[in-house]
Amino acid sequence: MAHFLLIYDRAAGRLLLQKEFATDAEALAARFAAEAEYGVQQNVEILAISAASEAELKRSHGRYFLSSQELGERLVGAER
Amino acid sequence: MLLVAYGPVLAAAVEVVSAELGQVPSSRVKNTGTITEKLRRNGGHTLGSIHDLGGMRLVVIGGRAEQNRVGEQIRQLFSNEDRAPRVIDRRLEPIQGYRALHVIVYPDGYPIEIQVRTEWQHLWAEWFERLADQYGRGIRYGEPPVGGGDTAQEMVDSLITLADQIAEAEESGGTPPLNAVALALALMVIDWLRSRRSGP
Repeated sequence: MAHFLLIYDRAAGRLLLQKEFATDAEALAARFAAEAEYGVQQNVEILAISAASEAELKRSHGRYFLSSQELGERLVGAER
Repeated sequence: MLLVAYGPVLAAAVEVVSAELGQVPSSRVKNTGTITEKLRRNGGHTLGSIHDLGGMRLVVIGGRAEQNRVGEQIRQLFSNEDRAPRVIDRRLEPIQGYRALHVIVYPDGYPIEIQVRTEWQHLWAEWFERLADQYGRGIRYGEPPVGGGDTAQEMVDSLITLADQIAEAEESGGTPPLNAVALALALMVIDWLRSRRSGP
């Protein structure tokens, strides 16, 4: 399992920080520290999230990593 | 602190789900900003009444049949807890196009929402959420877009129609790629986004 802290600027659609931690507890503690630093802002999303790998995180939470155009192209290109 | 207590419960539930399904879900304890937003949006709700403080997401390949199978498997996995799992079928009651199967489970009494999405539902939801970042999270609840004028509203309407098209295809057993109508809608919105990026 991989554990991440993400800080995301919603309005800009840009990831401000991506940091990996050894445990979910460390990622959660880092999230609380970041929330204390940034405060609760409507346009800044701070989250601790776990996934099988970084690639899986990008698959399950692509909106933090891709533009709206890229997400649309991902939908159009889906082939199974 | 409630959110800290969630960490180990959620991690244990992720292990249970991963071992049973052979697929590791992504998981998170809900962030403070969206908790605040939810409490504000649903006036009268308390922290204890939010059922997705802990959450998991699974994207399944194989359309609705597989989604049903996985949802049922999850429900059974947690059926021995003091509180029985609850299934919220957002395919029957979509919210602004959003469809998925949500299973709320209660390990040690803590509610955890497990989102089970088909690939199409997931790709659509991510796209719509990203647009909600740009045009206001209220579009997920039927509020008008903030900025972007009539074109943004048309884009939101087109995406909701696209979600309906996807649902129709999935109900009849379809899997990607998109049908002609859905593809045309998606390409129209992509073109609009592309022109907006390269515009003045």
